[in-house]
Order: sequence, then C-alpha cells, then structure tokens
Amino acid sequence: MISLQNLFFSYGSDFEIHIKQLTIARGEKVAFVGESGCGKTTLVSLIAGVLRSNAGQITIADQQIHNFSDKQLRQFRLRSVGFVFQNFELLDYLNVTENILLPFTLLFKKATPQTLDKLDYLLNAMSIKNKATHKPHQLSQGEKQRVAIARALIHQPSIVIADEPTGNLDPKNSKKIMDLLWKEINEQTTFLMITHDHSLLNQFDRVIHVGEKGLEE
Amino acid sequence: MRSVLFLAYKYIVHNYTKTIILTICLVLTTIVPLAAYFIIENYQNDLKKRAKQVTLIAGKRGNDYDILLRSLYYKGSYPGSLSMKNLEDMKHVGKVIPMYLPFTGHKLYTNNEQNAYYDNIPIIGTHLDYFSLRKISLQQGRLPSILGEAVVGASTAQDMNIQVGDFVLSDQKNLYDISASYPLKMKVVGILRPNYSADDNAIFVDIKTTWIIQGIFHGHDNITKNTQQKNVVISKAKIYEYPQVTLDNLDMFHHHGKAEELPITTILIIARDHKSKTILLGDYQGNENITLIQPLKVIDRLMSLILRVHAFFKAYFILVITTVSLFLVLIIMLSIRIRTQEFQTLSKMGCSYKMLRGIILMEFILVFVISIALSTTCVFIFQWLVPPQYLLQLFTG
Repeated sequence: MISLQNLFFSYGSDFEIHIKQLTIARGEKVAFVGESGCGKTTLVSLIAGVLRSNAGQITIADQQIHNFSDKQLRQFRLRSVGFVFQNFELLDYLNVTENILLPFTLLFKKATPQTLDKLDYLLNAMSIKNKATHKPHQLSQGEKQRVAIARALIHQPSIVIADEPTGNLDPKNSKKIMDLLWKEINEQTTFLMITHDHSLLNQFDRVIHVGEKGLEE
Repeated sequence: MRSVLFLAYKYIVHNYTKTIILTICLVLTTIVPLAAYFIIENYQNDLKKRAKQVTLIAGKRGNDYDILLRSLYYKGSYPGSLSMKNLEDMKHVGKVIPMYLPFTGHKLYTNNEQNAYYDNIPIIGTHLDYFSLRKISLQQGRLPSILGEAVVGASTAQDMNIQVGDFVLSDQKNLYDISASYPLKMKVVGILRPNYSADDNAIFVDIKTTWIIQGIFHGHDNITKNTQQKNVVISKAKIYEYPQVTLDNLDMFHHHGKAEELPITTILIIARDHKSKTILLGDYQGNENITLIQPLKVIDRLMSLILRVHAFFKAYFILVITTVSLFLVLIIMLSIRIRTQEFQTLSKMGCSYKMLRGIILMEFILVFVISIALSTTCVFIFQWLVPPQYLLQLFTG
C-alpha cells in the first residue's frame, strides 16, 4: 500500500504541492490527470522517491521512504519501481536486450537464468524478439515503447510508473501499448499512470485529478 | 565496476567517430614525447653497448667526440692520426686494437649495374682481434687472410648486392691530387652476419691494406730487373703500381720507412684490470699529442647534450598536455550537457551520481589507454623501421 500524509513539496516560490492524504492500495491501477504543469509528474516522482518532499510522510509497503537516505532511495527505485517514460528514454548505445536488462546493470547484478527466462518472455510478449540485438535507432516508435515497458517490468517491480507512455504514439500504437501494459502488469503490481488521453481512463480503478485545489477523484 | 566498464565500453564503441577523433588527438599529443623518450633511451643504450666493450680509446688530442664517434660509429670528422709506436707503447696494459679509418669505398660495379646503389662506405682497417671484440661472425666466406682482401658488413652487402668474389674499390679522396695513389681494388672474401650496429655498414680490411690505399705500402715492377749493371738502380719515369693485390704480386708489396711510423687513427684499449687503466690514464695525462678517452664518460657527456633536447621535449609535452587536458575538460563538460537526458533517466531509475561519474571517467580512461597503446605501438614500429644507429646520423651528419 502507498500512503501519503500531509505531503508538502515546493520548487522555490513558483510551484507548490500540498497533499493531505492519499492512499493507493497494492495492485491498484490509478490514472493521474490534470493540466500541464499542475504537478502530476512531481507527485509520482515523490511517490517513486525520485524527489524528496519538504514535509510529510510517504509510506510504501510499511516503509517510510521519506526517512530513506539517498542510497536507500536509489536502491528502492531500482528494485521496486519500474518506469515508462513518454520519450522512451532508451540508451542509444545499448541494444534492445541490454536496454531491457539495464536495471540489473545498474544494480551490478548478473542476469540469473530466471531473469533470462523473463527476458525471453517479455521479448516474445512485446513482439520484439527479432529485434533483440537492434539498437534503438533501428526501431519504430511503438517498438521503442515496448522495449521501455519490458525494461520497466524485467525486475518485477511492485510499482510501475508510466508518464504519458502513449503521448508520442499514434492511436493504433497507443492502444497496442496499453493492451500490453494491462496484460503484463499483474494484479500485485501497483500501476500509476499520468495521461492526457481521457479515452484510456475507464480502464483504471481510480482516476485522480491533480489541480490547483489539490487532488480530486 | 563491471557495469561501469560495460556501459562505458558500449558508449565509446557506439560513438566510434567521437572516440576515433579523441584517440587521434591523444595519440598526436603523446606520440612526440613518448617517441623522444624511447628513442633517446634506445639511442643511449645502443651508444653505451658498443662503448662498454672498450676500456679506453686513444686518439690524437683534439675533439673527444670525434674520436669516440669515429672509433665506435665510423662517423664524424676525422680526428687525426697516431702512429704504430703509440700502439706499442700501450701494449703492456692489455689488449690493444689499432684502427685506421680515413677511407671509404664502394662496390666495383659491372657494366650491367650502372644504376646500382652507390654510397661511400667506411673502410675499417684493423686487426682480426676486432672481430672477436665485437663478436662479429661470418654468414658467408672467410675473414681476410692476405693483403687486399675485404669482408663486408651485412647491410652494405645487402644494399650493394655484394657477394663473395665481388670487388670493392677504395674511393679517391681528392680527384685532383695527381700524387695520390690509385684506388685499390679489393676482393670480397666474406660477408658478416648482422650485429645491428655500425659494423653492418662497413668494409673491413687488414690495417696493412689501408696503408696500401694510403700509398705507404705499395707494389710495383721490379725496377732493377732489366739492368745489366747490378749495383746501379735504373728506373723508368713511369713505374707501374699494382692496383690490386693478387697472389702473384703479393710479395712485391713493401714500404720504405719505419714500421713504428705507420699511421693509425685510434687505438681501442681493453685494459687487463682497473689498475692498468688508471696507470695508463696517468701516463698520458697532459700529453700534448695523444688523448685517452673513457668512452662511457664521453657518451654521458654527449647524452647530456641530447638530454637537453629531451628536456625541451618534456617542457613542450607539459604545455601540450595542459592544453589537451583543458580541451578534454571542455569535451567532458559538453558531453555531460549533451547527455543530460540520459543521465537524468539513469538517475531516475536509481543510478547514483558516483556511478554516473564513474561511467564518464571510465570512458576517458578507455580512450586514454587505447591512445597510449597506439602511441607506444607507433613508436615501437618507428624504432623497428629506423634503428637507433640511423638516428646517429642526425647528430653526426
């Protein structure tokens, strides 16, 4: 379970975000919507431990991550969080397989046979098996996003955060990506997604509107 | 560490154009000081290797460098002559080897070899002991056993395509000196194995043969042969001198003077012990005509001159390396700026700043290691193609 209590975060005096309370159950699929610049990305970044709040508490699976050291936060992100970015953010000097296994590289861990099985499964599930040794510049936009999803899921994180994963895709590819996400993210995984695409919202358990007045459901 | 190395390696391989440009910059920066260092080091070792075999060198008082370079490398200005008496006077200290070095020669080409390679190769007049001193062995033929025979160094034989049985001709020192002797035609009886020194580019003859070239020893028709008055020497104005020593005219060669006055250029002295050396040095200290040089000491003096050039290279290197380092810092800063998005992504995923710094550092370490390896390889290839003895020509002309 993710719990945010009396959270306050500010970028100087220009931007502030206050959240009295937000609870997200384990395995819940939550969409965050709102105008650009309203703080959606900041909110999920706080939940993922990318940003540190100025005040308040963030508890994830009974761990008070607001008390974590920088190192603990990094370890938490590497082990427990999978990221899918709008611009895919693949490393252009790594091939598809190496990009997918990046969380293990950053953890200084060798891929175990189970990891390789999972990799094989994801390559098949994302229909990119034949592109396993290709570099990102050799892939289509849709393929890049599928690689990014596989990278977010390879280490079986408890939270998957997707920041407008379909923002750069055409409707056909958007649907395909969302179908894959719904298929591959299991019931135990909490899925937090930022989107502007209202047509996708009916698939989520909850839709949270982030605005000037705070959070509204 | 493995992950850092993996990511750095992948980055430099993927961005190979950038890597190649950086590598070239670093190779060009490091190759000059590296080459200077290795070449001077090898040059010094090569100079010392030959010098170490000789305790002292006696020569005409004058320029020590001329005596050293002429005796060991057959280069430089002619230092003047001593006489065989000087050699006799030094025999008590150990082994003494005379060297007479004023002449050069070349292959006597046949009509079919008009365009062949031509160079003035030093003719070394010495004793057979010289070959044992330098541990020179033959690859073909035999050592000179009579006057007028020659053996040729490996490089000279190869360059001039000289075989056993061919002839070499001494060069005339002054074309307009009508009183000078004619060039001597010498039969090649042996080709030496290469010993990668100045000996490879030389023609060796017995020291008496060089006296023939000089005209001190000569052979001519018997001028008393056709006279009926036995006690009176009657000679024609034109005496035929033999231009070549053969078995038929060998006995006719002679000289008209004292043996102790025969000229030599230098004397290589291999002293029996340190005491003999010290006594000999003492004996000749202040001698107005003869000087004794200690080859290793003269080489050290010579090297100190060259090392000044080396010091210049060092200063130049520091300047260049500072400039290149500043450029590298600029490149690193630009690289970080260009890769901001990538680093932010890695950071979001959980990569530490320490690891990010490690990746950048590792990329430059890899490029630097490749560059140094390439520079060193280039220097070794250069040294292989241009051995140190050729570099000597830069200093001796």
